[in-house]
Amino acid sequence: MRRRRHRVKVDSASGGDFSSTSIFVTPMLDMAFQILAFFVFTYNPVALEGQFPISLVQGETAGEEQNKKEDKTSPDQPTELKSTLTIEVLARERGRIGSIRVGTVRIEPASEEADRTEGFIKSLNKELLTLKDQNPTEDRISIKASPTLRWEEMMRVIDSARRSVDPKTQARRDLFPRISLGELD
Amino acid sequence: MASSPAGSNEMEVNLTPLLDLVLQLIMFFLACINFAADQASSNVQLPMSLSAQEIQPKTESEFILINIELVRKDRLAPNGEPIRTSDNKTVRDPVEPRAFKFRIIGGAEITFLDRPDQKSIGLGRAMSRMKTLADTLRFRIAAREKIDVSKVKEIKVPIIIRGDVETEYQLIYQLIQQCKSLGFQRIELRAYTKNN
Repeated sequence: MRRRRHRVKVDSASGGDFSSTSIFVTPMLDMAFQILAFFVFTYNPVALEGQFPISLVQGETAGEEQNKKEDKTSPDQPTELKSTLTIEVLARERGRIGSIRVGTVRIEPASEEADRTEGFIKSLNKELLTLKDQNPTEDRISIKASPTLRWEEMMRVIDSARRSVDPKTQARRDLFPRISLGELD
Repeated sequence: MASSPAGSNEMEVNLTPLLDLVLQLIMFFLACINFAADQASSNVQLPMSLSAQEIQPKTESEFILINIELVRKDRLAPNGEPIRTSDNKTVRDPVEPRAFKFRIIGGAEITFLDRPDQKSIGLGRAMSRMKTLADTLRFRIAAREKIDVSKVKEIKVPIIIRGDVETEYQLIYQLIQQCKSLGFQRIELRAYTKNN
């Protein structure tokens, strides 16, 4: 009997202790919701950014000399030769693509496209796919462009050279991922 | 028994204002951190690219970001309110005369008009900033590898160029060329990734 009463007292005492040290969940929740709200409101779904490496056409800067040396010592590519494939892009007014040459072949814009740039890109894709089929092991290409070309148009050309969508299979294909840039006079 | 709950009530600390304060502090720091980390200028309208690879933030501990932005302003409706597209974005037009702005981390903005003479001045100022960065990095590499500064030829820290769609190729090309001659080995270009 005595023992039982004692136990009850301990229980109630511990209950009292518990209430005085208990954590208040409500303000914590308030905080959590506010932080949540903060992130929800500041969430800004910007377009995802990607990046890719670029190099310059050999012999255009002093730094390239060291690259050549490195290439010679690397065992997997003992005879690193200058990339033989070139794309030349000439600009017309307002920095848009005026003409494209792949090697010695002049690209004509696809006539079914209303926009001339789109036409050029379409024909360029076709030409580069055949070029890749002719040189399946080559992964380098140099792109030379007029100084006044708009960056957007240049990026379209770089993009076509790096990767393309095969019109037959609709599969993406890596063409020439190693791009070196140059400038036309 | 009866006095114990009353006693515990007296000892109770009201946590709510404390938590409110903590929350305010958290908000303040979050806001500050976001602004500091935002070196990538949102004013740069990047070109689209199919082939750009995803950025792995963990792989690069340090890099130098160069933003080339075209100075733009909001297009205004006759009532003076900015015109918004369906997704609540403002339509931004280039200011006339057209001006470009270089933003390189840790340096002041370099603004210049879209004219050949101004461009070379702007480029020159950007390059002197890059030279300072290159020298600092060389010193750091030399100290880390315990070699003489003059022996540090290449800098492995990548340069990331975020160029606006309207930028002339010349500007980006010359920038890359001069960065290479300063000893930077890795140049990366940024673009928005497009899925098809």
